[in-house]
Amino acid sequence: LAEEAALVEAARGGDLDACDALVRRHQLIAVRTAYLICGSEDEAEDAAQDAFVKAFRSLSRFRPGAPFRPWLLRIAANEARNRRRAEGRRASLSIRLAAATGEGTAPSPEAATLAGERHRLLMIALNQLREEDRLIITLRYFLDLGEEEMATALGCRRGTVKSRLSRALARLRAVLAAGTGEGGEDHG
Amino acid sequence: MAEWRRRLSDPALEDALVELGRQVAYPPVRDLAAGVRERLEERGARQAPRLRAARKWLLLAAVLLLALAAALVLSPGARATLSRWLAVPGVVFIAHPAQPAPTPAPVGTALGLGMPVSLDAARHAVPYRVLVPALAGFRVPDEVYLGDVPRQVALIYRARSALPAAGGSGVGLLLTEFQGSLDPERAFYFKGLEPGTTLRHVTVDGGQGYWLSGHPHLFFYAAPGQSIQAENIRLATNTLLWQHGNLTLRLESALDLDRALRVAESVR
Repeated sequence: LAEEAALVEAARGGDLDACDALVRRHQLIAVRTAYLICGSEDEAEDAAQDAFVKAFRSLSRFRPGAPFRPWLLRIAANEARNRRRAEGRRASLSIRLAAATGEGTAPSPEAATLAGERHRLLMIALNQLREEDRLIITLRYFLDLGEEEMATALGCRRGTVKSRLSRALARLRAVLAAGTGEGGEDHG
Repeated sequence: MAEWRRRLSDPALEDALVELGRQVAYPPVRDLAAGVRERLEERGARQAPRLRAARKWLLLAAVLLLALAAALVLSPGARATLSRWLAVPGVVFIAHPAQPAPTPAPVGTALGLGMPVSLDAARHAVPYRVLVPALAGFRVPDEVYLGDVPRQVALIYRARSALPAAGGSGVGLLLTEFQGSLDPERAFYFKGLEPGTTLRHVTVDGGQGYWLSGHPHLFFYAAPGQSIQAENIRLATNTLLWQHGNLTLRLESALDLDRALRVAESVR
């Protein structure tokens, strides 16, 4: 963490090597966050790149000593959201699942099929949620962000993260129980 | 499976989500550092000329502040509005109209194009036939505006993939049309052509057209009464101007000349 703070300090002073180092540290999660919002590989990458550029350009407004990552993710999330809106794809976001590979943990082919079917249903349900619900769920469970980080990334108080997450989970559960979307994934 | 969905316990749902997260087909990892660095360096290189430009902006800011001060003295309403703007003493934050709105609000309202209307309403409101591109993807504009003078109709297409945003406003393409002539001998000159803006004579559907690339802001045309009018180029971006019958059409976008011509030549 001390190393990170030193990098941020150096980047603030215009050190481009420090910027490089910060990009390499955080680009994976920045691209993934953007991808979970805009659902497009190219746009996720663009959004992440823009987020880094904007973050570095506005480092002067950044509170010294504060963690860089959640702040970056918030900018990346905004960038991704703007791109998605510009695309006009409001209800049809779909995060894609990787084709089942042999490296799953399922003990048997039957179990693998069952797990695959559950993932499919869960993904369909998730894709049907409102953007903010889906975002909070994916930040928590897909990207494994802590509450503090989520609060900064979402731009809300830490105290409200928990309640928003549990409301989002309740809605996910409701969609899942209603079983809508089971007929197919094409609801664009 | 239905049973599984209804009886899922909280921890089981959370576990399932974590497991699902591992299956997401994320974009392949590519190093962004070089691209970010390039853009940061680009900005560094441009800073020197910007300092000169800064003097102009300072002057403009001073004029604005003076105007605000006057409004403040004159009106309590203005005072209340201003206090919302002033978060830090001495620093004025003015909402930038081009910021993307939190909901998919109309992208064209900030451009001062007039009243938002439907395409049909626009067709009824003007004395000429409103032209719309027949090219796929442009047959139905996302937004239509009706300007009062000179009965101008503006069609807006939001930025999308293959139609990049022009001028940072969320607008991908703006097509405006009005009655007026682009007679270059008399009416059409580019006195206001900014440095870095180039004018090229092109052919649009067999007729004369003009391609302004760079950051044009203004052009001139002859209104039906033969007076010369100045008209703003809203997006300050690549602009194609041409004449279609007694109409002047103007297409502003980030598209290159070839693609702009394809849209332009499809209007009917």
